[in-house]
Amino acid sequence: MKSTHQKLHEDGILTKNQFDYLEKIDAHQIVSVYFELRSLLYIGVLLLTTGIGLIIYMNMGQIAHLALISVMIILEGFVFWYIHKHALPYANIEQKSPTPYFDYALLFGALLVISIFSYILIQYDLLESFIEWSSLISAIIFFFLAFRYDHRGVLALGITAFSAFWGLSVSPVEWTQFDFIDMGALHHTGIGIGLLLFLTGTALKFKNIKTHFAFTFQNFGLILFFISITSALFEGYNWGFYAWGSVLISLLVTIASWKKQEYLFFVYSAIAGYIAFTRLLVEIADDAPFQLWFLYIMVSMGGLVFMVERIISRKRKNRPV
Amino acid sequence: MIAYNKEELEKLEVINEAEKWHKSGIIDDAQFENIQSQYESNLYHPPFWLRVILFIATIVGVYATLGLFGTLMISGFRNLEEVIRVILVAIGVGSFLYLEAIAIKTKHHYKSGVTEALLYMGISNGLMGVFGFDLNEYFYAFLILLVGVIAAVRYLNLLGVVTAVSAVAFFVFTGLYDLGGILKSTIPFAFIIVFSTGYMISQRFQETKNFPFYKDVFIILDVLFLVLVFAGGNYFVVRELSFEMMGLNLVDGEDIPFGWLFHITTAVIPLIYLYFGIKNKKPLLLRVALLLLFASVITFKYYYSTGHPEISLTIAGAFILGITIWTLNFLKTSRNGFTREKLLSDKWDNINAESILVSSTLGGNAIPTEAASTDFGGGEFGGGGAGGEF
Repeated sequence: MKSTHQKLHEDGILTKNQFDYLEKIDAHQIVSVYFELRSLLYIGVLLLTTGIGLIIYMNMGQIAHLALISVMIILEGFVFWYIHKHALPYANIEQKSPTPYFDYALLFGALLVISIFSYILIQYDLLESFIEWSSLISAIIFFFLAFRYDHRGVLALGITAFSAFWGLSVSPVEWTQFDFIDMGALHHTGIGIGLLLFLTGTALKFKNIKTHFAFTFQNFGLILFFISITSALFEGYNWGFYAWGSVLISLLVTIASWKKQEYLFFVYSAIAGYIAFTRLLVEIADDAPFQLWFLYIMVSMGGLVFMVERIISRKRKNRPV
Repeated sequence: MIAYNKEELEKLEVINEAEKWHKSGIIDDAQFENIQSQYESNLYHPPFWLRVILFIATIVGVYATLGLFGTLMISGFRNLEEVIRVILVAIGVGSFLYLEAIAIKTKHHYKSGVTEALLYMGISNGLMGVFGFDLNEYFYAFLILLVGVIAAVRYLNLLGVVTAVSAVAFFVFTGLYDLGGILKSTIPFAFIIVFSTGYMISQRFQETKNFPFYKDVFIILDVLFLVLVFAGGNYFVVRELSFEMMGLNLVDGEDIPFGWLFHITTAVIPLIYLYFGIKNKKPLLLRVALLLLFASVITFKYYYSTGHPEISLTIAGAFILGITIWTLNFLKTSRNGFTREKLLSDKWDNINAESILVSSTLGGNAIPTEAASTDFGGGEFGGGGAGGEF
């Protein structure tokens, strides 16, 4: 069988130049190590900042600490000098990294901010009184850096820090450990911040400012919102209100995300809505025989598959992610 | 051999390739539209997240069916086990029939989430129905191998490849272990020989014959072979398995037999991969080599720790950054066909994914390592990143 580019070239769809280029890639005459090098840069930054953090922590309270903090601040100064030197002027659109290292230098700088803050807080015993404020200040710095120098990773750090200021954790690592279950009284905050983040994303899109940031805002916002409202369903207090709210909003998001082909959001809202609806149903029909519940799950799942199948086959098929 | 319609599959492949070229800016919008309309495939292959939800829904649905029939039928039977087995096999066979006759034949599903779910349900329920009869373990391993091969060959399922290769590894290991005696201690070498031969054969196959739809299957196969060769020669793996399985007991200062040899293989195998990856310009080999180099370093760190993880981490980070920056500079102009520029957008080339990665690994990890102590009256706290507590 012929390769795809060969076939398309013979069909007259690809030009000679395009064919030659693709042929070179296919035959491994040119090989890109773009992803390998980027991953290595990322791992390097990760190891280096973790190592520096540990060194600071272990030498805390020793004579060397002034030297350490000076080294860190000098390093930070150097990083920001580099960023400042190479930065492109601000723009509302997505920008390409001006040098291969720029993005990683920025990330490194942002992480150093965290290290410096934690160092000062621990060293001067300010941990208990200022911990939230340090989160807020780092969040503000991160948001500024992310918008000014166009970096989605730093933006995500900013959102994480901002949520931490409110006492919320938006780290997916912890969700996998089901830590969000005992959020206690935090679900109001979670619902509010979730909505705020989601609306910020929507506003960015609407106003045409950094539209590629919208996904990060909306994604964090929706996850936070749905997890908070779903955990509120099981808290016992006022749960009916949350259940109806969740069903209603999930329905809205399901329809909207389907239309915009944002299928990740469709998945979130479908799952959250299903849980809320089932919770309501359990309350109404709690003395039904359990075979009926199996039937309910069977029918609803079958219905979901059938619906997804039907709608997508009427519209364009095979649209990749 | 392939369950799906080959012509339609070919069209889908063309569209997928074209999508990649379009994203990387090689072809323009008009060309892409043209290809899309000319190669419109009737296969049902929805976007990734829809596949995820279809997969979950199918599995939950099948289990609900199982529960419904199970609870309806179980009451009243005395020989419960047989009944459950019959139900499991029935569900397994039913899943397969639905997969073949309806999902693939009439609805043209191709890796839609539904197909994967039905395949796994069919296999796992069917096997659970026949397992536990105290038959020979080799027989079960053979069944698993067979099922894996069928899944990989007929449904192009990648998990099937993993299953099949694991079954082969089981045969090599348990076979030599059961033979006992001197053969027991040749297991590591057998692994290296068997799987490196497997890798060569797979390479040869890919060069000489053309398997248009098995590209991904071969990628997974190659990666598994390479990793298993490394595992066979890895000092940590050999040492721990010697303790666990062979009942080896060492006095202080003693090393496992041929310890020096496994030191060498641990260090050298990734380097060999790296060398051939660069020499033959094989990106796959290169990637595996990099990952295994990390594994190799961690193996040595495990036994020869300096007791100063903070210094090791900092030096390692600086070292990796240094080498990478040097390579980036070295490849400013492309050399030997290697370039630092992006040629084709990868399937996983998604900056949104990267930002989530950043916030979950860096935000989450950097702080708790500093904050892990309770000495400073803080307990857990969440510096600038994600904290540990709500």
